[in-house]
Amino acid sequence: MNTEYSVGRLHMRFESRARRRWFVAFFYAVLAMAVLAGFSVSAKNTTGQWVVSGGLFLFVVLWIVFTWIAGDMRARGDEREIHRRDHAHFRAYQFFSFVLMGMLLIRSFSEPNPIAPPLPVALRGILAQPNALAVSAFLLYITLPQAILLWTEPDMDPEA
Amino acid sequence: MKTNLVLLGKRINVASQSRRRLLVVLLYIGFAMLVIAGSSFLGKLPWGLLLAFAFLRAARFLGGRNYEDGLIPPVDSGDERELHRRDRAYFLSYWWWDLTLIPALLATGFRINPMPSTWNPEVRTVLYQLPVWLLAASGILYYTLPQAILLWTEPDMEDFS
Repeated sequence: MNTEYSVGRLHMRFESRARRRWFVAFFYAVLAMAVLAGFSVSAKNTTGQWVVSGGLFLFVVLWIVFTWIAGDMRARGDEREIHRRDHAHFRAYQFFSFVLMGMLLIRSFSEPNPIAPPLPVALRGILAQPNALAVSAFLLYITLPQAILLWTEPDMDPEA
Repeated sequence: MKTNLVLLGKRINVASQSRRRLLVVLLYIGFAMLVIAGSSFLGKLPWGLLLAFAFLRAARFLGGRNYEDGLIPPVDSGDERELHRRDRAYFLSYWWWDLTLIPALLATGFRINPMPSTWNPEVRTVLYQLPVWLLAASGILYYTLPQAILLWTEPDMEDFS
């Protein structure tokens, strides 16, 4: 894990856990906004194009910082780092049982069923969006172990 | 990890790594046959129910997670070495799981986007069903892969029976 991200004269330090947690929360908030905007705003008008492009741009910038400070998850560090990395994957893996259940649930709602018709239109609209869930699941899959590691790692020395 | 299992009333020793590996191979061959049968021309039979039943039996048999009586002890039990081995197995599973998860996610596109009417109807039917079966395979791998990796990688054990 890296403790600093530098680009030009800009230096962002991530030794403190509180700062890393803020960053992870902000990263996922932007991710959620980008996915929501991508699937709800029409890209056929100018405002929609700006919203989607802005969300994607912000996401890419944060993605670069996120992957930099998390480091290469497949690289072998010392024994402690390997244990922490493996444990982060163990915890991330548990979470995906909810994702799988959600995908099966939404898949069942994409076909005629007796439960959907009485539901509010907005909820039915969400349930009829398997592509949004698929994209969210994919983004979570590639980011969750790193996020858990950044979230749980205690405060570090600046030299680390 | 248990070194003996009882299958159809017969006691089978699985203390050796080679026997455990054979068991894992047979288990996945069985699952693969069920998934292929369900997604092929035999799909009109209730293969989904059969697959779910086989999966539940296999999950209980393998253990791990919260199962008490399987080959692998529950995830929260064991000493520090066992917990490290468990975490390592989950790390490997996480990266192998994308073999089915990512194709399943990509294949949902066949359900969402209309396929050209010029395509062969049989191909369209297969592509329409593809995400369901990939998702089924993904679910099976999700629940069995960590246990399978533990069985595969644990060296030969002493038989305490």
